[in-house]
Parts: sequence; C-alpha cells; structure tokens
Amino acid sequence: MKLVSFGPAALLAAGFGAAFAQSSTAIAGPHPVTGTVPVLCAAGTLSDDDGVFAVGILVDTSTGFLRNDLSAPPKVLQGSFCTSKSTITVEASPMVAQASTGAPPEGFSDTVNFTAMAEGWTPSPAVFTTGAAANLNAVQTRETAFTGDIVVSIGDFTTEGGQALRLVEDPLYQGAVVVTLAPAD
Amino acid sequence: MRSACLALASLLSASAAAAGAQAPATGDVGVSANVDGVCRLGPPSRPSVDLGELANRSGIRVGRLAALADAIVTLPGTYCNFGGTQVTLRAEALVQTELSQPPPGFARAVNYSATVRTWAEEPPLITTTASVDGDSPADQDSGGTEPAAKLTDLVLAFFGFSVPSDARLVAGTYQGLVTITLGPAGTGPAQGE
Repeated sequence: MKLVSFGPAALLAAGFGAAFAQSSTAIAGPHPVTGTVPVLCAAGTLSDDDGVFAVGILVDTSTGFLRNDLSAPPKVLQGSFCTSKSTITVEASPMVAQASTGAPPEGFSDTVNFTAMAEGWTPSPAVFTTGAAANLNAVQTRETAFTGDIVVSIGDFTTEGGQALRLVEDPLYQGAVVVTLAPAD
Repeated sequence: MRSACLALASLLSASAAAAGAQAPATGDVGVSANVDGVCRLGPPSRPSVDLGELANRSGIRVGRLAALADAIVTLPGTYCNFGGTQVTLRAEALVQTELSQPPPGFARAVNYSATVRTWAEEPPLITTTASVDGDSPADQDSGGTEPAAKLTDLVLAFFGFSVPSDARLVAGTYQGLVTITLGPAGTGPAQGE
C-alpha cells in the first residue's frame, strides 16, 4: 500500500517542477554593424559656364604699357566639399602671348604675371603669384570636413621683366589658374 | 550426503509453493524528470555586418549616402522548447566613431530599419532615428508571441538606409550594435551592450 501512495506524490512533484523551471532566455549580440566613409573631396562647379577670366585689353593703347586698372570678375566654385581634413592648393601660370614666337624684342615682354587667390575654404586664402620665386601661401590646410563655396579671383597684374617693358601685340594672352582640393593626412 | 541434498530440494519446492499461493502486491512507481525551458539562438551566419563604403565616390550624389543593398544575417537552428516566447530586437544607427559634432552640412549617422523574421507571426520592426550629430541612435521593439515551441532559422534583415537631412557623411568608421533577445514573452529584453 505504501508503494501505491508514493506514485502520485512523485508525479505531483514532477508537475510542479516543470511549472517552476527557469525558462532560459537567449541573447545574440551585441553584434556590430559597420561601414566606412572614405575621405572625399569635390571641387564643385564653376559659377560661369566658360570658366574664363576675361581680362580684356591688357595695354593702355596710347602708351603700350600694361594697364594698371585691369580686373576680372571672380569665379565661384559652388558646392565644393571634403569629408575630412583637407588642403586647398592654388597654382597659376602667367598670361603669355600665344601667337608670337621666339624671344620678344628688346624693350618688350610677352608675359603678364598675376596673383590668383582662392578664398572661403580656409581662414587664410591660398595665394599664388606667377613669376614669384616662392609661393609660401599657395597651400592652405583646413582641419575639418567642410562644404561651401570657393571664390577664385585674379589681380595684381605685372609685366614680366619690369613695368618699363611694353607688351608685344598678340590676339591672345593666355594663362591658367588651377585650384586643387585634396584630402590631408 | 545424498539425504542432505534431498532435504534442500524439498525446501526449495516448499518455498515456491508458498509464493504462488499469495496474491501479488502491485503498485505504480512514478518515473519522473523535468525539462527546463530553453531558448537558443543559432550561431549567426556572420559575426558582424560590414556594409562597406557608405558614401558615393562620384556622380551627382558624391559624398552622400550610396544605394546600400539589404543585409541579411541568419541564425540557423534557433529554438525554444516551450511556447509563449517572443523575439526582441535592439539596434543602433551607424554612427561615426571619432567625431562628436559634424561640421555644418555633414552628418555622422546612418539610420536603417531592421526586423527579425520567422519567429512569431508579427516580427519586431525597428527604424533608428539618430540625428545628424549621432544622438539617440538606438531603437527597440518586440515581436508577437509564438504560442508553441519552435525550431527555425531566424533571419535578421537590415534595409531602408538613410542619412538625416540626406547630408554628406563625414569620413571615418561607422558602427552600430544589434542585439537579439529570445525568451518568454513579456519578460523584457536583456540590456546587452
């Protein structure tokens, strides 16, 4: 008889055991989800479609010397950006008479130097003067990512060889300005 | 010697007769054990999800979020041996790990939606809403209750990537953390970090 009563007791205990069993919770993670953004720079688009600084007639037609009131409207590089620290570099080559060949005659020059400047990106503008022995401010560094406009202007025109030289006649004096945005280390 | 052997045989026979004469005593003997409730998440098909380059390198959207493909992680052989369970998903937006404040025009966060399929009928669904500076990256949701024990290949899916204000992304490494919790419904998720 004792054995008979023992059976149900054991079953009850098993039943409670199941009811109070600790339910295990499973956790996966935290798993990382990762990605990268490379250091990118884009110089944007020019405000004018032709991208030409039109300086006009270079000389005072009565004297043949370089005019001292030359100017050209600045260009704007719109929507420029870098995603990290960057440098801006401005380089320029002087305006040189394109049709004339050989060395200019004595008393004449076939080259006009100028200064190009890129502003708006760095606290100090990047500046490059053609014909200068050194251009220490041609490269400027910005410490943070940036997006904004860069204003590129030219000015301070001078005759190579000295203001006493006249410019040879030529239908086209041509130079160039190059602005470079690059990721910095 | 012979007589002694006989006597022993007779005793054995008497004993057998006595047993056969009595009614057998019977009873139930309980054989019991229990099985604890267990949930297990299978090993993830990949330990981390690398989305690669997040930004376009060229084109009209250069510097902005690229078209990212949906990402899938499976956890094969996931099970609970009891009913009334649910999956909870906690996920963080991808946030650039170095900067604290992005420059104007930039963001340092990539938001996304994520879900865990094939458990209960209603899956958990989260959409992170980090701001441009990466604040408030985490979101959390629990799915419906699965009434019965279940064995399945769980599927974690990421989709719908976006950047606050569709701003350009600052360069660097981006990371968010994802935690899946599987257990009894209503017990809340573990705060895995």
